Amino acid sequence: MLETIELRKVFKGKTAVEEVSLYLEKGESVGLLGPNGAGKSTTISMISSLLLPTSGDVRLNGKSVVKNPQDIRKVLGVVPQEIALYNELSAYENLKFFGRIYKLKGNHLESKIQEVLEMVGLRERQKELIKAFSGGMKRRINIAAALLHDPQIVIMDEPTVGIDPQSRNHILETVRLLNREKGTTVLYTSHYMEEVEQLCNRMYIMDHGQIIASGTQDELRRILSGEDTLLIQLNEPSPELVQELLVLDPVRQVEETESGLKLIVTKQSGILAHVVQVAERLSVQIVNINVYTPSLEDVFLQLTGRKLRD
Amino acid sequence: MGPFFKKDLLILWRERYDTLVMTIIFLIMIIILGYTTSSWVEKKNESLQMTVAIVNEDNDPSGLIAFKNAIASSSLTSEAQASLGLQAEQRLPAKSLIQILDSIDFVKSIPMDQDAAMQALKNKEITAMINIPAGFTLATLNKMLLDDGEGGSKITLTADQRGSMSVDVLQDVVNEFMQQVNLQTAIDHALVTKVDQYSKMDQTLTLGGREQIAGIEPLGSFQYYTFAISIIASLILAQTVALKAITEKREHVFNRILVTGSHPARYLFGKAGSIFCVTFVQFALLIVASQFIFDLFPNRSIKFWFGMVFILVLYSLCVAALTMLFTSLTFRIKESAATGILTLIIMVIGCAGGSFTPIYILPDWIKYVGEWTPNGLSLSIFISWIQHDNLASLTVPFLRLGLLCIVMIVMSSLLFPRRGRI
Repeated sequence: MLETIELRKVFKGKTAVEEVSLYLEKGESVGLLGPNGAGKSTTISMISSLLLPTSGDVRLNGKSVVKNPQDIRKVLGVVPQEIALYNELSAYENLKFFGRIYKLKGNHLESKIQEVLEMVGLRERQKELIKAFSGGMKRRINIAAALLHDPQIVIMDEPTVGIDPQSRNHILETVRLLNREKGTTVLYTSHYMEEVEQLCNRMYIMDHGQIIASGTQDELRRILSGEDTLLIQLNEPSPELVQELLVLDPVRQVEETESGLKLIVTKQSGILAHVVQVAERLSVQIVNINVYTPSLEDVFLQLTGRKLRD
Repeated sequence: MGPFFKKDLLILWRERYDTLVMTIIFLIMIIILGYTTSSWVEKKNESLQMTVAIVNEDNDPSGLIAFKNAIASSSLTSEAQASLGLQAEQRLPAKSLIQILDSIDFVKSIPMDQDAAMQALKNKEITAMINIPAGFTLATLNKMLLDDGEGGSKITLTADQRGSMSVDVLQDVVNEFMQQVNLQTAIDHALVTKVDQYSKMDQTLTLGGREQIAGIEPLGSFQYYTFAISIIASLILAQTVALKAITEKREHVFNRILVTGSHPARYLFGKAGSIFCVTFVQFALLIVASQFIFDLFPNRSIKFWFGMVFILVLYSLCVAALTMLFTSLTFRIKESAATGILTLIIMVIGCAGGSFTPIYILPDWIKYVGEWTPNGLSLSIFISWIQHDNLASLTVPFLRLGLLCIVMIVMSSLLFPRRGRI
């Protein structure tokens, strides 16, 4: 349905996006993961025809969006990362304005406004000014404004940043509803791996303007299929222990956590004994050890060398 | 354009208290400037220095002799004849006028003949010439003292239009002189039982008379500042609306609008439409408030007020075009610099266009530049309308204002960023 072909964007000699190729099938929910500055928002701007790519193309059903931006604008709903609403207007007035510029009119517009307000759970508060809303409520109206014209594709750029758990749950529920019940195609970008794990069938991982991995959750987890994750709880932090563990052959990565260390190690017997020995030698007390299968967060860490929220 | 217009109007309505407070502040500014700088506007300072040619075709002595001969041959008693003769000697009208002109420190009067005075006027060596016609003394004395005849021949004031502000002052002087002469005549005749008749006389028409110069009305400082400050108020309003585009850009509201497929021109014209309405209302409020407080335009006709509304509509269109230009500029310049740059533009065009100080006291080159600013041009149109009350004479300024609007709209369209470059 929608694909990008080797998209590239250069700003004043600095490459923000480098040959990004991705696709969305009809009715899919696809995640786009990456830390700050990875190039997600620039990619979204090019897909939604707001930014001209330096090279490459965006195609909707085979037709170039770069050449014919009107085509995608009819079927696309974009939820920007920012609260793109008028603070001086009420929720209802904002939705009415955006509905009217989507060329909705009369009773149809009125029913759509009420429908999307119901969807985001703010129908009762539609007359209140946006500036009086909490961050989470603003984000919900931000989403509602992108859904007024029943878009076939919705792009959400980090829609849950900085909000309360209640609003976050509401937003996730809305995305689920859109995708699973209404069949809307969703491209969802986030800092939060668990959101993408909950919502998306497939995902792309971006870093430094490039897509470094893609696939279903299982496919991505398979990147670390030969590894285990050890979560070690220590009585006190020990930089010496980190240095010693990194020398061990099976240890692929060591990350300091609040209570101790997180290790990604190749699956092999005896690694636990090695770790305990080193700790004893350095007089570091191990309080607890957990071994589990790596998560997508671990995959991300392995691929990029940094955490998703860095 | 409809949704954009309504949205912008609604936002401005939500901020109506701010706008109202600003309007009150501007009203206070009108009061302060109207009182403190009235001398600048009301033409009493040294910049109004003028040289006036006196073309005196009258002959005082022979006029006086003729008057005395006339009373000598009348049936009046010898005491009455002596009294009237003495009064005539003391009230020679042409001589009095020249004495009044000589007593005004910014008027320099020079006796000239008709041809020399015309030449001097053409060469701009003098501001105006005053013609005192032959027989003026005799006719005026006959009317004043004997109530005989239709009064003196008219004193003619001839001037170059470009010196109209000085001419306006001079006309006031001549007018005041004639009123004094007429008043004195009325008092004299009242003593002789014709009180009612003379107290009801139209003083400006009875004696001597004067030549009205194209219906010029004097301009008061409160009139000037009502318009100058109201114009600045609307420029600041234009800036406020344009600066909202910064927030729309920063918060990606504008991008959201573009994603809907709306043409950017609708966004620009929406702003123009809303600012047109608000400018009109704010300006009208300031004029109406000033009218009630200062009695700006007493006894003006309905035609005058319709003309004022028409000019205000044109001016509001001009502010709308300026708002479009400012909005486009805010998309072009850095967010942090936008407020400063727009304020600077307003300050510069405000100064050049006479919005802070009367245009009369500015150097000629600034006046010239000011004539091409939307505020300066509009102010001169308002002033011309107040003074001349003649729309036909404003055709050229209207065309210039229209041209300025078109230029600003075209510039805003060219400056507005193309797709993918916002």
